[in-house]
Amino acid sequence: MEVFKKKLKNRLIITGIYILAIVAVMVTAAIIGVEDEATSFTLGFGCGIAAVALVLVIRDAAALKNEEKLEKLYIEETDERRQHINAMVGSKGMVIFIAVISLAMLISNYYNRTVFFALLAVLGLMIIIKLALEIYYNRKF
Amino acid sequence: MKSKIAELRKQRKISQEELAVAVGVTRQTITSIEVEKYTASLVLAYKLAKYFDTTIEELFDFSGVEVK
Repeated sequence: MEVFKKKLKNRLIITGIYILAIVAVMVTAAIIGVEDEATSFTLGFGCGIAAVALVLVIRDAAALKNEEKLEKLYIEETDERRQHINAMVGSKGMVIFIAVISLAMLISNYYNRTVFFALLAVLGLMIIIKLALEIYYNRKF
Repeated sequence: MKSKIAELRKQRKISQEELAVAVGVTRQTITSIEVEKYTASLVLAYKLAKYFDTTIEELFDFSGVEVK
């Protein structure tokens, strides 16, 4: 449980830094951005992400102060069925996502070259991340 | 995989939640094991067997498992 407490504390710090980064981007966009759709989207989406991150911070902070909540959170996060589901969703989701992006990329090539290159970059990054993770976990286990 | 978990749990008048807390999983995991949707890991199977004061072989039905 002490290891889990330490993990939660680290997570709180990282999430806090992430929220600050989101707020920094939003403030920058509000100050120097022109009043257009891009700025509106940045502010709106940023608010959403920051709100979700804040909920997680509150949950983790509450768990660190209350043993019962800490125990419940520990069980939720280490539950083997939940971990199995997450692994299946991650692996299969990644394959489906790569397939759909590939198809969209091929189709967009005929309609919009900017979209094509954006999708190509996303596809390339996903494949690199997938390969890197496969190498890492093959060595780890 | 079939098991006697539901039967033993009801005999001892224990709820799924109580059993889940005792072996360190969520209630949903106990439900999934009892309805044979999820197969417990070795560690969880051991914990369940120990909780019910029995063996893994007695608790779970391995008749469908083949060894070539």
